[in-house]
Amino acid sequence: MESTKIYELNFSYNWNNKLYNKAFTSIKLYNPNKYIINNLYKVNLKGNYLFTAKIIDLKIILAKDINNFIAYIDTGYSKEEVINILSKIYKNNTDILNTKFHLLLLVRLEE
Amino acid sequence: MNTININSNNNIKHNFKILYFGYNMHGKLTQHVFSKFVLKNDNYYKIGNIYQIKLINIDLSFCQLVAKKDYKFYDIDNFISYLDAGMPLKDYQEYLLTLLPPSFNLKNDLLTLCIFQKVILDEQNTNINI
Repeated sequence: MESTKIYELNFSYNWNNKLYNKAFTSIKLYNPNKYIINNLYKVNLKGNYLFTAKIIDLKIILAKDINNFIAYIDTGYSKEEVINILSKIYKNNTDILNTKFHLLLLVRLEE
Repeated sequence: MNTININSNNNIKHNFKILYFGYNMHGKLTQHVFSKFVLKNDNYYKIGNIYQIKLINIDLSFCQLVAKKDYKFYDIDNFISYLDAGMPLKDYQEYLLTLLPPSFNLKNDLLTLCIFQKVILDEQNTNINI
Protein backbone atom coordinates (compact mmCIF):
# COMPACT_ATOMS: atom_id res chain seq x y z
CA MET A 1 0.00 0.00 0.00
CA GLU A 2 1.39 3.40 -0.99
CA SER A 3 2.16 5.91 1.74
CA THR A 4 -0.06 9.02 1.78
CA LYS A 5 2.21 11.12 3.99
CA ILE A 6 4.07 13.77 2.03
CA TYR A 7 7.55 14.61 3.28
CA GLU A 8 9.72 17.59 2.41
CA LEU A 9 12.90 17.45 0.37
CA ASN A 10 14.88 20.65 0.64
CA PHE A 11 17.55 21.89 -1.76
CA SER A 12 19.74 24.91 -1.13
CA TYR A 13 21.01 24.89 -4.72
CA ASN A 14 19.78 23.48 -8.02
CA TRP A 15 22.91 21.38 -8.58
CA ASN A 16 23.50 20.62 -12.26
CA ASN A 17 20.09 22.21 -13.04
CA LYS A 18 18.71 18.78 -12.25
CA LEU A 19 15.45 20.07 -10.79
CA TYR A 20 14.32 21.02 -14.30
CA ASN A 21 14.42 17.36 -15.32
CA LYS A 22 11.71 14.75 -15.10
CA ALA A 23 14.04 12.40 -13.21
CA PHE A 24 16.88 13.37 -10.91
CA THR A 25 18.98 12.08 -8.04
CA SER A 26 19.69 13.37 -4.60
CA ILE A 27 22.41 12.35 -2.16
CA LYS A 28 21.06 12.64 1.37
CA LEU A 29 22.34 11.48 4.73
CA TYR A 30 21.11 7.91 5.35
CA ASN A 31 17.67 8.01 6.92
CA PRO A 32 15.59 4.85 6.43
CA ASN A 33 12.59 6.38 8.18
CA LYS A 34 12.37 9.28 5.76
CA TYR A 35 13.58 7.85 2.47
CA ILE A 36 11.36 5.01 1.28
CA ILE A 37 10.48 3.90 -2.24
CA ASN A 38 7.07 5.25 -3.35
CA ASN A 39 7.07 7.99 -0.70
CA LEU A 40 6.02 11.41 -1.95
CA TYR A 41 8.04 14.57 -1.27
CA LYS A 42 7.40 18.28 -1.64
CA VAL A 43 10.54 19.52 -3.36
CA ASN A 44 11.62 22.93 -2.10
CA LEU A 45 14.43 25.07 -3.48
CA LYS A 46 15.69 27.70 -1.01
CA GLY A 47 12.41 27.31 0.89
CA ASN A 48 10.20 27.75 -2.18
CA TYR A 49 7.96 24.90 -3.23
CA LEU A 50 8.70 23.65 -6.77
CA PHE A 51 6.83 20.39 -7.31
CA THR A 52 6.00 17.02 -5.82
CA ALA A 53 8.24 14.06 -6.54
CA LYS A 54 8.25 10.37 -5.78
CA ILE A 55 11.17 8.11 -4.86
CA ILE A 56 11.16 5.33 -7.41
CA ASP A 57 14.46 3.73 -6.45
CA LEU A 58 17.21 4.21 -3.90
CA LYS A 59 20.63 2.89 -3.02
CA ILE A 60 22.59 2.98 0.19
CA ILE A 61 26.15 4.08 -0.46
CA LEU A 62 29.23 5.17 1.43
CA ALA A 63 30.69 8.47 0.29
CA LYS A 64 33.85 6.67 -0.85
CA ASP A 65 31.73 4.56 -3.24
CA ILE A 66 30.32 7.53 -5.13
CA ASN A 67 31.43 7.15 -8.74
CA ASN A 68 31.79 9.75 -11.47
CA PHE A 69 28.42 8.92 -13.05
CA ILE A 70 26.58 9.55 -9.77
CA ALA A 71 28.69 12.58 -8.95
CA TYR A 72 28.49 14.36 -12.30
CA ILE A 73 24.79 13.75 -12.92
CA ASP A 74 23.83 14.67 -9.36
CA THR A 75 25.93 17.81 -8.96
CA GLY A 76 27.78 18.58 -12.19
CA TYR A 77 31.08 17.89 -10.43
CA SER A 78 33.53 14.98 -10.29
CA LYS A 79 33.52 12.41 -7.46
CA GLU A 80 36.51 14.08 -5.78
CA GLU A 81 34.74 17.44 -5.82
CA VAL A 82 31.51 15.88 -4.52
CA ILE A 83 33.30 14.32 -1.56
CA ASN A 84 34.85 17.69 -0.89
CA ILE A 85 31.40 19.32 -1.00
CA LEU A 86 29.97 16.65 1.37
CA SER A 87 32.90 17.26 3.75
CA LYS A 88 31.99 20.94 3.88
CA ILE A 89 28.25 20.30 4.31
CA TYR A 90 28.84 17.74 7.08
CA LYS A 91 31.89 19.42 8.58
CA ASN A 92 31.35 17.87 12.03
CA ASN A 93 31.66 14.43 10.52
CA THR A 94 35.26 13.29 10.92
CA ASP A 95 35.00 10.25 8.65
CA ILE A 96 33.03 11.43 5.64
CA LEU A 97 34.37 8.69 3.34
CA ASN A 98 32.78 5.99 5.47
CA THR A 99 29.55 7.86 6.11
CA LYS A 100 26.38 6.21 4.83
CA PHE A 101 24.21 8.12 2.38
CA HIS A 102 21.00 7.49 0.53
CA LEU A 103 21.22 7.94 -3.23
CA LEU A 104 17.64 8.74 -4.16
CA LEU A 105 16.15 8.43 -7.64
CA LEU A 106 13.14 10.72 -7.87
CA VAL A 107 10.60 11.44 -10.56
CA ARG A 108 8.68 14.67 -10.78
CA LEU A 109 4.92 14.10 -10.68
CA GLU A 110 2.60 15.85 -13.10
CA GLU A 111 0.51 18.50 -11.33
CA MET B 1 30.54 10.40 -37.46
CA ASN B 2 30.88 14.05 -38.44
CA THR B 3 32.97 17.05 -37.55
CA ILE B 4 32.32 20.76 -37.81
CA ASN B 5 34.96 23.37 -38.77
CA ILE B 6 35.08 26.60 -36.79
CA ASN B 7 37.51 29.45 -37.38
CA SER B 8 38.48 31.39 -34.28
CA ASN B 9 39.54 35.06 -34.38
CA ASN B 10 43.20 34.09 -34.58
CA ASN B 11 42.43 31.96 -37.64
CA ILE B 12 43.03 28.65 -35.97
CA LYS B 13 40.70 26.13 -37.50
CA HIS B 14 39.05 23.75 -35.04
CA ASN B 15 37.45 20.49 -35.95
CA PHE B 16 34.76 19.65 -33.48
CA LYS B 17 33.00 16.36 -33.42
CA ILE B 18 29.22 16.41 -33.48
CA LEU B 19 26.99 15.02 -30.75
CA TYR B 20 23.53 14.48 -32.19
CA PHE B 21 20.29 14.46 -30.24
CA GLY B 22 16.94 13.81 -31.85
CA TYR B 23 15.08 14.83 -28.73
CA ASN B 24 15.87 16.58 -25.43
CA MET B 25 14.85 13.60 -23.34
CA HIS B 26 13.39 14.61 -19.96
CA GLY B 27 15.06 17.99 -20.30
CA LYS B 28 18.58 16.69 -19.71
CA LEU B 29 20.25 19.14 -22.07
CA THR B 30 19.42 21.97 -19.65
CA GLN B 31 21.90 20.39 -17.22
CA HIS B 32 25.55 21.45 -17.03
CA VAL B 33 26.47 17.78 -17.17
CA PHE B 34 24.41 15.15 -18.96
CA SER B 35 24.67 11.58 -20.13
CA LYS B 36 24.31 9.89 -23.49
CA PHE B 37 24.49 6.25 -24.53
CA VAL B 38 26.42 5.65 -27.72
CA LEU B 39 27.64 2.63 -29.63
CA LYS B 40 31.13 1.89 -28.35
CA ASN B 41 33.63 3.79 -30.49
CA ASP B 42 36.80 4.66 -28.60
CA ASN B 43 38.18 6.70 -31.49
CA TYR B 44 35.21 9.05 -31.62
CA TYR B 45 34.52 9.15 -27.88
CA LYS B 46 37.76 10.02 -26.07
CA ILE B 47 37.85 11.67 -22.67
CA GLY B 48 38.84 15.29 -23.15
CA ASN B 49 37.35 15.58 -26.66
CA ILE B 50 35.15 18.58 -27.39
CA TYR B 51 31.82 18.14 -29.20
CA GLN B 52 29.30 20.48 -30.77
CA ILE B 53 25.85 19.58 -29.41
CA LYS B 54 23.27 19.39 -32.18
CA LEU B 55 19.59 19.02 -31.27
CA ILE B 56 17.90 17.88 -34.48
CA ASN B 57 19.45 20.56 -36.76
CA ILE B 58 20.01 23.24 -34.16
CA ASP B 59 23.52 23.96 -32.91
CA LEU B 60 23.53 24.24 -29.14
CA SER B 61 26.56 24.70 -26.92
CA PHE B 62 29.82 22.77 -26.79
CA CYS B 63 30.59 20.00 -24.37
CA GLN B 64 33.55 17.92 -23.26
CA LEU B 65 33.58 14.20 -22.59
CA VAL B 66 34.57 13.88 -18.91
CA ALA B 67 33.79 10.25 -18.08
CA LYS B 68 32.62 7.08 -19.78
CA LYS B 69 31.82 3.48 -18.96
CA ASP B 70 30.98 0.50 -21.15
CA TYR B 71 27.79 -1.47 -20.62
CA LYS B 72 26.22 -4.51 -22.13
CA PHE B 73 22.58 -3.95 -23.07
CA TYR B 74 21.19 -6.07 -20.23
CA ASP B 75 23.47 -4.48 -17.61
CA ILE B 76 21.73 -1.11 -17.88
CA ASP B 77 19.70 -0.52 -14.73
CA ASN B 78 16.74 1.56 -13.65
CA PHE B 79 18.91 4.39 -12.31
CA ILE B 80 20.65 4.83 -15.63
CA SER B 81 17.46 4.60 -17.68
CA TYR B 82 15.71 7.26 -15.63
CA LEU B 83 18.70 9.59 -15.50
CA ASP B 84 19.49 9.25 -19.18
CA ALA B 85 15.96 9.30 -20.55
CA GLY B 86 13.46 9.85 -17.73
CA MET B 87 11.82 6.48 -18.28
CA PRO B 88 11.76 3.07 -16.59
CA LEU B 89 14.19 0.40 -17.69
CA LYS B 90 11.70 -1.68 -19.71
CA ASP B 91 10.59 1.33 -21.76
CA TYR B 92 14.20 2.45 -22.17
CA GLN B 93 15.28 -0.95 -23.47
CA GLU B 94 12.43 -0.91 -25.98
CA TYR B 95 13.46 2.59 -27.05
CA LEU B 96 17.10 1.58 -27.47
CA LEU B 97 16.05 -1.39 -29.58
CA THR B 98 14.54 1.00 -32.11
CA LEU B 99 17.91 2.80 -32.41
CA LEU B 100 20.41 -0.03 -32.40
CA PRO B 101 21.60 -1.43 -35.73
CA PRO B 102 20.29 -4.91 -36.63
CA SER B 103 23.80 -6.32 -36.38
CA PHE B 104 24.11 -5.26 -32.71
CA ASN B 105 24.45 -8.31 -30.48
CA LEU B 106 22.46 -7.61 -27.32
CA LYS B 107 24.39 -10.11 -25.22
CA ASN B 108 27.93 -9.29 -26.25
CA ASP B 109 28.27 -5.92 -27.94
CA LEU B 110 29.02 -2.85 -25.89
CA LEU B 111 27.37 0.50 -25.46
CA THR B 112 29.21 3.38 -23.82
CA LEU B 113 27.58 5.63 -21.27
CA CYS B 114 29.26 9.00 -21.82
CA ILE B 115 29.16 11.91 -19.40
CA PHE B 116 29.49 15.29 -21.09
CA GLN B 117 30.11 18.64 -19.40
CA LYS B 118 29.14 21.84 -21.18
CA VAL B 119 32.03 24.18 -21.93
CA ILE B 120 32.45 27.70 -23.25
CA LEU B 121 35.15 28.19 -25.86
CA ASP B 122 37.26 31.31 -25.76
CA GLU B 123 37.60 32.45 -29.36
CA GLN B 124 40.67 34.61 -28.63
CA ASN B 125 43.01 32.06 -27.20
CA THR B 126 41.04 28.87 -27.76
CA ASN B 127 41.14 28.04 -24.06
CA ILE B 128 38.22 26.20 -22.63
CA ASN B 129 36.42 27.90 -19.79
CA ILE B 130 34.07 25.78 -17.79
